[in-house]
Amino acid sequence: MGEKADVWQGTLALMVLKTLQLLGPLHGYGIARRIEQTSGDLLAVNYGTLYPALLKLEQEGYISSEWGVSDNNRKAKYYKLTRAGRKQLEREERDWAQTTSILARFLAPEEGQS
Amino acid sequence: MRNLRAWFLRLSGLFLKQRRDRDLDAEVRSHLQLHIEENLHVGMTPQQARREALMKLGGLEQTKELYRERRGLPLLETLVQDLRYGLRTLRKNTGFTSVAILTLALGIGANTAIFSVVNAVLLRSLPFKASERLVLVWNQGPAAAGGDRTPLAVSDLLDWRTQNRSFDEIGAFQNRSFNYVGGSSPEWIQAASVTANFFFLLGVQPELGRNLLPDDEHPGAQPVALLSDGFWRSRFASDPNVVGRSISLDGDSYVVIGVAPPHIDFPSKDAALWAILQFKPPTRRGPYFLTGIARLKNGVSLQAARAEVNTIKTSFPSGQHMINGQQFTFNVLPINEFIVGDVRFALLVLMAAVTLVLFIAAVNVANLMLVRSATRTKEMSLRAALGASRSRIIRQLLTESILLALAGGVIGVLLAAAGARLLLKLAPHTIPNLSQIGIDGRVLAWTALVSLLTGVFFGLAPAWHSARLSLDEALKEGGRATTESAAKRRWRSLLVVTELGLAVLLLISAGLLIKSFWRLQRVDSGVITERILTMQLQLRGPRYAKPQQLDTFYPRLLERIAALPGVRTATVSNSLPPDTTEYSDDFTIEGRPTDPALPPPIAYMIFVSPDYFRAFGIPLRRGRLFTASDSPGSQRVAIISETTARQFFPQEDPIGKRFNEKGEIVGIVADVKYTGLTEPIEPAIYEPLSQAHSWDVLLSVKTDVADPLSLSSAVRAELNSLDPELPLSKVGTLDYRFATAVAQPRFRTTLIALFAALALVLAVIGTYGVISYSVTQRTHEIGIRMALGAQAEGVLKLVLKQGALLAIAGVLLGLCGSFALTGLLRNLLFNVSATDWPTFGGVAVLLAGTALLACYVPARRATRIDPTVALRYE
Repeated sequence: MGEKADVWQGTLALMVLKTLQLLGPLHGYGIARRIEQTSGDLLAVNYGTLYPALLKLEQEGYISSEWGVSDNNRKAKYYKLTRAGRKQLEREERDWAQTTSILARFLAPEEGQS
Repeated sequence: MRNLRAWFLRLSGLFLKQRRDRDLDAEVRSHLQLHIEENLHVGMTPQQARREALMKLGGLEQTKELYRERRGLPLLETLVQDLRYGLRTLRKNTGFTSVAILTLALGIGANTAIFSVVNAVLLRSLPFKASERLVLVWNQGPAAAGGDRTPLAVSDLLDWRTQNRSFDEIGAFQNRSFNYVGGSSPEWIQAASVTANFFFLLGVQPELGRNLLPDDEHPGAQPVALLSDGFWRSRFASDPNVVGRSISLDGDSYVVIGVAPPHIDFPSKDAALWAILQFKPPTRRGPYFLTGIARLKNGVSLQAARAEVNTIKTSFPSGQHMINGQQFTFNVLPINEFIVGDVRFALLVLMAAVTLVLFIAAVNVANLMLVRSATRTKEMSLRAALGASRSRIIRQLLTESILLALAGGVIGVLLAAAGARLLLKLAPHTIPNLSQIGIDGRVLAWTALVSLLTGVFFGLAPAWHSARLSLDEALKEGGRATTESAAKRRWRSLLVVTELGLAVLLLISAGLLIKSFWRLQRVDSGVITERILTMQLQLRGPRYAKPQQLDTFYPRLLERIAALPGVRTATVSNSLPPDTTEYSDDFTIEGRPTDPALPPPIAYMIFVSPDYFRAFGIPLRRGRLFTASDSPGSQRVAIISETTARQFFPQEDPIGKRFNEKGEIVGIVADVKYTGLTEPIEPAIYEPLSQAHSWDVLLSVKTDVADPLSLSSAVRAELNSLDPELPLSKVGTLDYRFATAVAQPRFRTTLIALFAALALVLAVIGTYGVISYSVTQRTHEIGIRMALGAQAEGVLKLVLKQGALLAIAGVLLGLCGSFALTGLLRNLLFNVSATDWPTFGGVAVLLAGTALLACYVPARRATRIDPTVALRYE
């Protein structure tokens, strides 16, 4: 494992938070499904890796969990965003935007030079 | 912040594992169900739906494992696992475990015991404020005047104070004794006379009452004293109203102004009180009786102070006193050095010895573990096959070693506690802080650390070896369960050779010390010490104020004691061999001007009653001894020792020469050691007590009985009848005084000999173990040899040769090491060279012999191998 996993973990966490912000409280399977869809099926990832990530977010206090009942009357554990999670999401979104714009300048073709 | 929260939650995740696992199971199950339902909805068959869901999840067990790792603290969990497994394994192999623990307990216990002494003596901080800035100061004079610790004179103190630039505060003290009358009967007590700033220098405040003040120093002021805590408790029953009481010291009235806190054992453990030192402005340089104590200014280094202090000039320059010259040469010594300096080296040597013993013990256990690991190869390979990483296996094996070591440590502490009690009984009184030797927090922490390191040390190599196995080699069907790799065999031989070498080093060190001590005990002190009762008398008060009173007292006392049954002779003197003298002084020889180029004539002045030489069997070389006719009115006479004659009358006959203007030398006697058994003999001049008076004398009674102490009550009775108020002390025998003089060397020699013996036993056991195991390994091979016609003798030689190689290698290693290192012991050796060949040779033979003897048992076992059985042995 190593650095790649950490980066991946970080991005996954961000995706989870964003999903919960957009869709409200959701169970693990739902979150995994949603992430897969949003990424346009580009990310073929094991759903199992989601659960340690969810646990980490919960340990850090960004999401909270509760057993509930799904639409088809199935018991499932629902996760929802906390206030701290909301703030963290805003912060991370800002950071990402900044990183992207800086990088864009570097990686964009030079004007007037070849 | 978030991370902290996460860590805490992970810590709590260690508990309630079962419930949390059930929770996780439920969540994973619900996940799969939801997924499967969706799949069914899309149109898959139930089997397809389930399979797709499981695949998408990415492995059920793996998901759970990843989750669990995130939930708890995996490191901690595996540690707990290792501990439980380790305990179980150790408990199953009771033989191995008990031998290992016992060996470790001996090694660690010895270490703990010595460290507890080091802790109490060297590491404990002194109860003084900023003791690193406190120094003691003496003059540096000729050996006969006190050498490096020649006392200061009052004028020296005052000169120093006036010209000082390096010290904040300068004081002085003198060890002395008083005839104390304050209770039922008079007794003499050890005490100190101190300047007013003494306690201020130490940074000590009295527990009760007030401190000494500068005004108390004035010669006309009421003399005052501070009691020690112990003295206050025992003589005054901790009376809170003791302040203001009057006590009589040597006939003078002192007022008690306070009580010091406990454990201020300075300048001596036995000081009962500190009395104020009052002195008038001096008119000459001498007498010399003070020890200076001072506090360095902040920022001034010891070297700077030493340099500065040697530029101070005396206000009484003249060529005619003991310490010539105008400028001082002071000896400035930090107080810590003073208190522990003598024993520090010996303690460090002991610490080194005990570390070597521990090393040998650890090596033995390492060998044991290597043997055991051979039987666990299958277990280790299985673990590796099941997915255990190498570091995991090593961690688990190390946990076992550390458990062993800690168990050994616990038993070692118990052994050390018992041993410490024994140590206290044997230890000489001169070791500082003796009463504080014990097992305290720091000692326990040290033991834990040592156990941990030992466990890692002897566990690491075997653990690393075990983990390095290749999978197929060990899981081979029908493979020999007890194959030993060549590397392992080499390791074990190397370890045993190291053990033997270290044992040789320790044995040689012990041998040298024993020889040295033996020689010390046989030093010719110049006297016959048997059957002599000794005690100390101090004549104080108005009864003995005038010298004439002494002249009547001493002869009467001696006459009465000599009349007692069992007494051959009685004598009093102001000095006693081997190391008690009163003082030394310069003397002049008629017709010889003081030549500043030559060393000044200084000798120890020994005042004796006429029977002194007879009582101690000191032979007369020339001239005559003192008689009763040498009285106060008659010609002053003196007898000199051979060394005095040799040094100051090399070409002429001293008899008849006049010295110190009025005296005449009438005899020469053989030398006697008065300055310690290991020191060279200093010049001595004897004078009769009737002419040179002393009020502090030692009474020596030469008896005919086996136990001189049995006569002590009779002697006491005679003393009492002459003067019921006269205190006497230090009742003992001359043999006892001699024994006390060598108490320290005896102590350390005994300890090192003990450790060396322990090392020998451990090393020999280790050798036995290796050879014995090797015989077991080679059973098959030996069976073949015997089947092919080898005789029992041949087999014996085979095994013994192996053992002999180890022994010789070990001995050679040890001899080389000793040759290089025993030079360090030079300070502790008396009359013995650090490379004393007989000792080296003797130890080599001893160790080789015992090692070979140890090999003999397994060798015999090898000869009794039945070839038919051995050939089937795998």
